[in-house]
Amino acid sequence: MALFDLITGFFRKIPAPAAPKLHRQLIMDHTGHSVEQFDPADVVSLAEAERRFKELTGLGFIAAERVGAGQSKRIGEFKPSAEETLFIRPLVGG
Amino acid sequence: MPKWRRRLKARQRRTHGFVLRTSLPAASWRHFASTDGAEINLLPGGMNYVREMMATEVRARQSERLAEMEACLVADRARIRLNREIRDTFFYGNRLDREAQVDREAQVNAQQRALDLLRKWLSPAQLKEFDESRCFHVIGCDSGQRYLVTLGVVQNVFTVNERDEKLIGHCFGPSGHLAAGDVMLAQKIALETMETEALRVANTFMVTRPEDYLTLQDWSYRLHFRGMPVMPVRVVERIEPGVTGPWGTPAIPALDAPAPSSSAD
Repeated sequence: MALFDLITGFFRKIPAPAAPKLHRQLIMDHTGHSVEQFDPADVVSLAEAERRFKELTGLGFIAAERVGAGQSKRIGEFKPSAEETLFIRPLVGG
Repeated sequence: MPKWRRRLKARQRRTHGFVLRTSLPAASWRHFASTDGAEINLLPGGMNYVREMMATEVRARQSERLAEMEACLVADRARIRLNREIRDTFFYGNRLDREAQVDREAQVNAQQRALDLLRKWLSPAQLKEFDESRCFHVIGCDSGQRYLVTLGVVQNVFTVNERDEKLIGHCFGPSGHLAAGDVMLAQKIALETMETEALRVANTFMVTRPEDYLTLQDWSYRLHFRGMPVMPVRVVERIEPGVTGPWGTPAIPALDAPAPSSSAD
């Protein structure tokens, strides 16, 4: 059996390791929006995303997380599990 | 009164509901001044004539006038754009053209990206609505009030009632010069997650209905037609039989009234 596996395994495709699912931070700007990605499993990337979150919310940006089809939720604290966070510029009267 | 005249009047009464007081051929009526509620013969030396119109005719004329005004606006915009391009080419030559072209492409890309993002964040119902009519409804998180967000960057949020009539406008959005899709998305999220705060910063504005706009615009040239002052005309929505119209126009006989005798004419 072991020999059989050895022979057939030679011809099998080795599955590529699954790419880490990156979470996105969308920042509204004059180009439409800019996208920043981070890996929630990576500590460095996570710290960078948190720093960006704090910096933008400190500037008055409104952070909203997409929670479903057409549903969004405003978040005040950095949330690593948020797959897509949108940063909206501060609201002003027109 | 000759017999043919009586027959003509009877036929006019049957078809129009009133009698045309003119000796001019019917084909020339459309060349005369027209207002929303009546037609006035303004030919110098011609017989003054006032005709009331039925509500359907009034509406048809209003829509015609609106289409004319829209065509004028489109033509104006095209003229302005052309003038600007001519001016830029004349003063700045090809340099500005190239820069402007790059800038325009960037703007188009930004608009497209913003709209794509908006489409991703809209609910299926909102997306369907947006694809059909370039606007969508949002429910406010605090009051439960319905809002209409239309395509645009300013003055594009309205409180609407259950009949979808715009009641009042709210002007607010993200700071900076952003694309329309981004602005609409920000407005949607703001109303759905922080309605009170959004409305606190918003400036409100009165909503002008299309019919109001038309009426207001009409007055400017209704009072003067080809340099001649014209008497404002009352719009008659419904003509009641048996009621004498303005300016001594003849009463429309009720259906059960006896046929008019020749002596009355």
